[in-house]
Amino acid sequence: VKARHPLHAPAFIALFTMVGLTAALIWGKPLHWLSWIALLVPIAVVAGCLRSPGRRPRGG
Amino acid sequence: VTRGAIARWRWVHSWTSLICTLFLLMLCITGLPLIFIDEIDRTFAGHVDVPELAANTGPADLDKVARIARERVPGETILYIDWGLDEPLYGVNMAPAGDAQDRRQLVFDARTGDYLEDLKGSRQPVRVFLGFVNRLHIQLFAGRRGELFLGAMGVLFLAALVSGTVIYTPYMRKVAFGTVRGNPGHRRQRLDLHNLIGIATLGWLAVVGASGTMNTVGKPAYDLWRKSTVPALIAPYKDVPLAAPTVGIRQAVDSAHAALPGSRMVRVTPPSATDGSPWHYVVWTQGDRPFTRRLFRPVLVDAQTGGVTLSDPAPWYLTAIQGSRPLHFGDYGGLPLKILWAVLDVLAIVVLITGVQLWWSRRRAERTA
Repeated sequence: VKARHPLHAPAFIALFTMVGLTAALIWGKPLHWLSWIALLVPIAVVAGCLRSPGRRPRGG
Repeated sequence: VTRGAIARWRWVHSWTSLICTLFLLMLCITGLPLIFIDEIDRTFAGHVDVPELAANTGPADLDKVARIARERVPGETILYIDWGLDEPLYGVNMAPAGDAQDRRQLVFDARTGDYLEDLKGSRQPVRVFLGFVNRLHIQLFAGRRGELFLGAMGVLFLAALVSGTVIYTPYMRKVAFGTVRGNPGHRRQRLDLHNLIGIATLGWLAVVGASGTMNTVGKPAYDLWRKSTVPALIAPYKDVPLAAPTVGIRQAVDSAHAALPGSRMVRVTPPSATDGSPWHYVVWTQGDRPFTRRLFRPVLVDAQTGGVTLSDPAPWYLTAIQGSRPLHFGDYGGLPLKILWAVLDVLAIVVLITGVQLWWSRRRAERTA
């Protein structure tokens, strides 16, 4: 099985962060929740990965 | 990507990061209290309590407020009066003639015109601390040079983010996303931690880094625009003799509001030879939508006739700088956004520290070999 590119997941997270923050900046209070989620995602990713360390190398 | 190219990118990442790390650590640490500057000020610095009044009370007469301020501090001149953004307050900013740095702010109830507080007189330790942290964060106590220097560090930081992303790819080709290997304190674990936190927070780091870098050129860019715009606006007045204003502050603000009906008035500067125009009130306005509320536009009001001179809207680069400011401060999404901003700030500190540790351990290993 061909592995996904290592930047797929990071690119998605980065893009979501930027879009969420910018949308809340432009449209204000109705989209504040989106900016919260946009920042919660990277924090949750870090927390989740730290809770399950030492995952196996791909194909190992 | 060839092995040689990766080595070159790694060199770029190492040195761009190393040069700016110390300053970025300072910015991250001083940035933490600044995220909560309003909350800290409200809690510890004797926040001005605004009494409950009927909703339709006021607004107070600005000219009366200015008169009371001049009577309270007779030796000082009014630099400008601004409006509280969230509360019904007027801040009358004053300073001795010729010393604009030694300023004070008298706070008034914007509905009744009652005097509430002199912020210079209060001098709470918390405000002194916040002022110290703010100056260190913005300009390293080195004025414009310090700001521009930090801007250069911001450019290096952005280069470090780009180069870090490039070298992340080959490192992670055989490892699943988010893998953290090794035991605590081991080089491999530090590397994985640095990679994981750095790449997961990349979007936020890029947004805060780019907007912070833009902020450092904000003042020079604004001065450039003002120097090219204001002289042209007041050029027709150069032969008009100076006289005491016959138009009141309230009337000037009303004239500006009539000229830009969709705008909010946020500040008025009386006629001044040193700031703005000696023949005009300068009324600063902002838009009424979430984004345009961050964009300022000055309106000149003739102090003798009340006639209005509108400047062109700010150029694109000033709009970009003003509009991007909240993306650096994280102050536009309520307290939850500020808390998340602080968590990411701490994660950025971890990335910086693990980065230096990695460079140091690699250097030691190369020396031993």
